[in-house]
Amino acid sequence: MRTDEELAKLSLKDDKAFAELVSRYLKRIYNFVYRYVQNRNDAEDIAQGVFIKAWKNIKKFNPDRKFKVWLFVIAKNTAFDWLRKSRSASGGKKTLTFSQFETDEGENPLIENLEDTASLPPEIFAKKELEKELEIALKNLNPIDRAILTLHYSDELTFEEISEILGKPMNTVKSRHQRAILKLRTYLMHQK
Amino acid sequence: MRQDYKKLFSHLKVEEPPAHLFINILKQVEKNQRTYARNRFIFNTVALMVSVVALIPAVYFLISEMTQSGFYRYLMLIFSDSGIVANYWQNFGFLLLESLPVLSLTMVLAAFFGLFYFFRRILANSKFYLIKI
Repeated sequence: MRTDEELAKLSLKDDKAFAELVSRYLKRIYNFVYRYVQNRNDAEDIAQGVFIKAWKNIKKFNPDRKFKVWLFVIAKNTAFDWLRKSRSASGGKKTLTFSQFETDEGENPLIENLEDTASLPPEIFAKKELEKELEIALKNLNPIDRAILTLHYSDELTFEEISEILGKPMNTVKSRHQRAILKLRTYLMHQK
Repeated sequence: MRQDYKKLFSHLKVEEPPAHLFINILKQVEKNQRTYARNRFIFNTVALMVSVVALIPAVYFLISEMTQSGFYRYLMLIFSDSGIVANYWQNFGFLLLESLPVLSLTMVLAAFFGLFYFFRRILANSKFYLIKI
C-alpha cells in the first residue's frame, strides 16, 4: 500500500491517487471541521474547500513532511477563516467559553480545587448519556482547545504534530491540553 | 492518563460525511482541472501565435540590419577572399563581431525559441487537453 506522501506526489499526474487521499481523509477532516463549526452543512462546504485547496497546492507539498499534518493545517486554516467570518457576521457576539464554570476574569474555581488530574473517575464512564455530555463539554471549550483534544485523542496525533498544525509552540499546546482536560473533566464530573 | 482519555474520546460520536461529498469533491477537482487545462491551452496557443507573428518582422529586421551593418558583405569575404581572411583572421573576427546585428538577432532567437517552446508545450500536453477540455 502506498504512503500518503507517495500518493501526494503521484496526485500531480494521477487523478486516482488524489481520489485515494480524499477517501482516506474525508471522514477525519469532516469530523475535525465539524467540531469547529458545529453545523453539518458548513462542515460539508468547508471539508470540500479543504480538499480543493489541497489539490490546488499539492505541487507545493514537501514529501519530507507528513501529508496528514499538511492537510490538517489547511483544514484548521479554512475552519478558522470560516469562524472569523461567521463571528464578524454575527457582530462578534458569539463567545465560546467554558461559561458554565468560569468567572468573568476567566478563572475557574472548580478547576483550582481539583487535586488529581491523572485519571478519570469510573463514574464518568458509568454515565448513561456520556456521548451527549462529552459533546456538550467539547462545545463549551474554545475552538483551539477542542481541536487539541480531538486531534490528540480521536485522531491520535502527537503534541508535536498538533503544534505544527496549530502553529503554536509545543509547550503552549501541552499546557492548553492540560487546562482543556481539566475543564472537560470538571464539566463531566459536575454534570448530573 | 492517555488511555483514560482515549477511552473517553472513543465515546465521541463520529459524524459520517454525506455520501455525495466524496463525489462532489472529485467533481470539483475535475472542474478545476478542466478550467486549468483550457486556460493553459489558450495561453500556450496565444503565446505560440505571438511568437509566429513576432518572428516574421524580426527576420526582416535582421536581414535589413545585416545588410546595413555590412555583416553580410564581410561574411561573404570568407568565400570570395579566403586567403586575406586567413591572413588577418583576428581583425576579421573583430570586424564580424562589431558588425553583428545583436538586437535583431536576439529578437529572432527569442521569437524562435518562444515558438519552439510553446509548440512543444502544446504537443506535450495535447493528450491532457483532449481528455480534460
